[in-house]
Amino acid sequence: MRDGAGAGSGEAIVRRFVAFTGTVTGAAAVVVALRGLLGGRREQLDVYFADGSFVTFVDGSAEAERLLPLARQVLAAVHQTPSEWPIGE
Amino acid sequence: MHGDSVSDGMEAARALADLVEISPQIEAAIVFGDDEEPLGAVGVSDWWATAVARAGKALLAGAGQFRSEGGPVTQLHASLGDGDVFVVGQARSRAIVAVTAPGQPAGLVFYDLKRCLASLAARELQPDPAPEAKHARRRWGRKRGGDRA
Repeated sequence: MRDGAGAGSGEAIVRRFVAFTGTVTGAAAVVVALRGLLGGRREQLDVYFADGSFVTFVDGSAEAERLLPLARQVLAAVHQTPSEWPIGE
Repeated sequence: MHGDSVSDGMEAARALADLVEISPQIEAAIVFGDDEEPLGAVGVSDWWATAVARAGKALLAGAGQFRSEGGPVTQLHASLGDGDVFVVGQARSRAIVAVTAPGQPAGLVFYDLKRCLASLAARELQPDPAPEAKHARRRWGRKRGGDRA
């Protein structure tokens, strides 16, 4: 009787642990998915050359830091947000 | 010369109107020459079109400075948080800047922008109708008007 109760208690602990781990993993997966869908879009610049080659400058690189403000100026002008103009001239 | 620029502007306006008709994802587009002056714009006021043309030319020129091989820059695409910017052309010739919502297919936008520039070049190659032909057309139009009256 006592042995059976001990086995049941151990099983309950394992179940709780599995449920807790599953919940944490699921929550992390949801957060990652939402970041990817909503706010995870990284700013970058793709430059194409006459020979067909191209290079990507990701946000944070020296090239992107110089060129992306110009692209932001274009967006600001089209969206007519003068407070963003001019940037980094 | 002034007449040429007016004609260029009209041709650019037509080409841009065609562009936004076939490419509804394009919010605004500006065609500009090697002097940074906008030849035509759609989706943005004239004052801002000048600013966009200058920024577009600076983008082309600036991107070309980071690499010596591969030839000149022919097109670029900036992915930003609240929109995408596309530039097609070369720093010392006619070029076009376009703005779209985020996440538009770049290949499709590039294709439409190149097509717009090509159509603009093709329209310029078409010779103006001869003066005799213009008069003939006008006389023909008057005659029809006279028939109606």
